[in-house]
Amino acid sequence: MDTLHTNSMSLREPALKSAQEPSSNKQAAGSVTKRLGNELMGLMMSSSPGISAFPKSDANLFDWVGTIEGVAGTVYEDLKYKISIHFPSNYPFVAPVIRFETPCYHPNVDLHGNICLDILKDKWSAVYSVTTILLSLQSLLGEPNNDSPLNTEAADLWSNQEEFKEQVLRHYQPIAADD
Amino acid sequence: MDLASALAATGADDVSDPSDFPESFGVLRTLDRTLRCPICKDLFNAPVLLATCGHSFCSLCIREALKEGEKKECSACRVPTQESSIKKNIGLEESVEAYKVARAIVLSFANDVVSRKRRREETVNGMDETPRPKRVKRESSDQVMQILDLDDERTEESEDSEVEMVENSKALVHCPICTRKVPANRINAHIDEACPEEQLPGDKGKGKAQWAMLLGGPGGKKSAKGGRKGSGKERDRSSSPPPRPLAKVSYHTLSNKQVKGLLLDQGLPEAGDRKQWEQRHAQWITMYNANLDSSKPKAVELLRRDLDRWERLRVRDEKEKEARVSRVDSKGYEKSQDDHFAKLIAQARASAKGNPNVIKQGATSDKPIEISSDVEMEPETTARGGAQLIPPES
Repeated sequence: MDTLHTNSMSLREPALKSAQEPSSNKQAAGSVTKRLGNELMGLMMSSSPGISAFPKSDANLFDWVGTIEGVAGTVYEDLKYKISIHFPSNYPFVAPVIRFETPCYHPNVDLHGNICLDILKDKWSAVYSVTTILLSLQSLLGEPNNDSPLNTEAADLWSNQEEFKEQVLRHYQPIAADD
Repeated sequence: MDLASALAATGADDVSDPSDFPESFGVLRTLDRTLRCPICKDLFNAPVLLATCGHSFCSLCIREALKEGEKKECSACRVPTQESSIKKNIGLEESVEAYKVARAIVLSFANDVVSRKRRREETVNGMDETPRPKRVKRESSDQVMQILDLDDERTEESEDSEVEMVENSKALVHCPICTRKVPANRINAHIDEACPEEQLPGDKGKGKAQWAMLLGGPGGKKSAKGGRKGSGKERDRSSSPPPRPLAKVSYHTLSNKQVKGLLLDQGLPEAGDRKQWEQRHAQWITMYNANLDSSKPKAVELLRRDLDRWERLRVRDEKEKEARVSRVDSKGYEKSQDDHFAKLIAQARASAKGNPNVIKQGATSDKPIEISSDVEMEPETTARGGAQLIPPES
């Protein structure tokens, strides 16, 4: 599975310049890392408002940290949530593991940050990407699925938006500056 | 850490993306996107079509998706499908192969237009322009013109400039099949001729050898093929018939010895346990069959190396998963939450003393209800639930 996808030629300009250098590490890059590289580039280039993600360290492309900003007009407006993303080796055929690192009071998020979202479970498809996940999570914040709650209290409270917002702010912790 | 170093660190620094094209060339971005597999986001490699819905993917991508996914459905539209609906998409493959070569040229062309425009704007704005970068840029655009010229008229003169161009710009690309370096303008012919040894740029007599390959190569192949009867497929020059796809195996009906035999038949290693054998063989079938969907299949040895790499990544992942599980083990959690538990226990004891009915009446008494509502609000249920149970026992 590994190098079948690394086949596309390095025809981009930077690659042309370095074409005469030994390229052993390029050979070592598997299709997973290649796809993650592709996604990273797509994320950086397309400026989707309110979402971002980047690998935790340059030693490991399989663990990312992302941020999601609440959409204006929802109780999560102006709040910024940190999430962790772990990619399995058979990604994208299996969904990544995603958790809220910032405590998030939400009907579909439990207090450990686990998320109940169909596209991360049985509705996952290999064509989805980090970008689609982050966008889905962003819209999940404002439009919870109260029929299958992980946090039942939050689901019950949802109808009372003022009180709900109070709870959201009570649980919220701003992302530390060094993150 | 910036984007480039992140990509370089993982060896994935040769990724390409529609956004490589300048923003002002939106149509090129769209074109680039349509020639990419929606699963791997890379340019199509051995593209196939799902006869059930018409969506295209790399052969290996959709085969893996059907294998790993819970349901057999198109990854793009969820229409139910099965592996027998996978059909080669030869037209798309040809388009992509041609596009791979054209992409480099079009890209440098587009970038050049943008940088020229920017320079012009800078001059208009009265910014002092140093002549040096200008010359560099002009050179690069000349190279593009050279590349374009070369495709049209292959004269003796342009051959000289071709050598020059290649040396100047180092316009070498990696062949997707043999991974050797090949001049960008040779790549199509190189692939068509089943990856012959390429003369490195600057070698004397390179032009001649190239011409010999261009002119003599296909002819020689044709005559060799004429000897064999019937086989219209353009695979390699070996005399064996075109390989057939491998059939799936239901391993649970087989003995250990038989599974081992399957591995031996395919020349695969027999290390590991029975589970690993089955996974290895199943993955081999997927990779092998996907490879057959390419009009220029990889050598089986290369494919075995890919399988080995796949397996090593799998093993690493399993190990990590184990480490993850042990990291969130209950003992560690218990320890880290020790004083929290202690506090809860103390609280519960105090309340139990104050209200001896707790033990008998359980949930109906006031205090436990208070606690349980607290639990509902912060559903760390297992830990707290455990702590609550202590007072009735003590």
